[in-house]
Amino acid sequence: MVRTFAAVAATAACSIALGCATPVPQSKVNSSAAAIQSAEQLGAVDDPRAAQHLQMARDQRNRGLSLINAGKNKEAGRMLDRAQADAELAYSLAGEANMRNEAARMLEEILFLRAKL
Amino acid sequence: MSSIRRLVPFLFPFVFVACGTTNPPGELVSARNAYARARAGDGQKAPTELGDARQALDHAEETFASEGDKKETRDLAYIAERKALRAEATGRTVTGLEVKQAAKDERTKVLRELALKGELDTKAAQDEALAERTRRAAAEKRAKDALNALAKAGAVKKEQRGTVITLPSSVLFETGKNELLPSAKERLSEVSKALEQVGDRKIVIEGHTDDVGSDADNLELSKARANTVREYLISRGVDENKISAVGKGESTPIENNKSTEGRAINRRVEIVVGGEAVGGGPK
Repeated sequence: MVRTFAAVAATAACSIALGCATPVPQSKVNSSAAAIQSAEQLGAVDDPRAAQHLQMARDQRNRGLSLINAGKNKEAGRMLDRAQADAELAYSLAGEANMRNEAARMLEEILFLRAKL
Repeated sequence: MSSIRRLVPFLFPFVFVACGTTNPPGELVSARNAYARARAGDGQKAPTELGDARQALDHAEETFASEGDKKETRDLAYIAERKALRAEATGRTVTGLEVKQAAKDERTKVLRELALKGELDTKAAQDEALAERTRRAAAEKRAKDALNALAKAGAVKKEQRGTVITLPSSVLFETGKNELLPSAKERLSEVSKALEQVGDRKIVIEGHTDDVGSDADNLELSKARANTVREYLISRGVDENKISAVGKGESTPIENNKSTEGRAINRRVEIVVGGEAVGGGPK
């Protein structure tokens, strides 16, 4: 019985120690920054829906960095995952808006050329 | 201890049933709905993204089944919903590509018809079309540059009422106060520079709060904050005749006030750059 208790206590202590020692999610810090930058470069700010998710990504990334500063690396990791998901969504929405605009421009050009016929 | 051990097989089903009857969090419900919509609609044209969304939703469901309504479950569901929305957006982009290709084919056809009228006519039409396109692209670039300058200070949206720059209250003011934080002045200075490029458009500063506290107090605080921003922008050179301030209190939330995150998003100042020139329409 004593041996079992000691094993449980050791496991608990180990878990606590490991929990405290969750490493800084550096790859998530970097990848979320890259995802935000990609969305910005694609013009996410020009489309209302993309801009909204871009801002959510920025806000959540900042919150993730604050959590890292507070030593809460596990929570920070999850917050950075959320930031990444919003940044990727902003990127896709921006791509969609660009495609829509290009198609619209081309259709306008057709109308313009048709008027010449 | 041994008696507890004997009870475990009997207790386990109760614990399991208790977990099984927990209501799914709102984020998980939204993720399920978003995935179902993507799978039935636009997402079909983006199988890779739809697969990612399915995988993310499965992960959230598994965590909900084992952990119940925990923060981790909600985070995973949040991500799954974004992935489903992404699958839809990618699917719509594929549709856009198809439209663009069809337009390209149509353009070739029209150019061929023009060629039948005479090569010179066609060349002139192509040159004119190109010039028109270049003019439009230059105008779009100017507008984009101004928007990018504004985006450095806050989120920018294009709405029916005009371009809306949203600044979270947390970056402008201390909680419950209406004096600008030093860092806010830097941001607003960037905004004032960008606002110089908007010409004679009307600018309205709107203050918004969350729903904590009384309606009257929130209205008062939102008015005071909107006025503070207005005065600061005027001090930085924005024409006082084209800028007004209004307090909206808690009347126009953009997120649910039930969560901390939602309340933080609702506490905001919006700078609305109208599409209508000053003196050019009804007041």
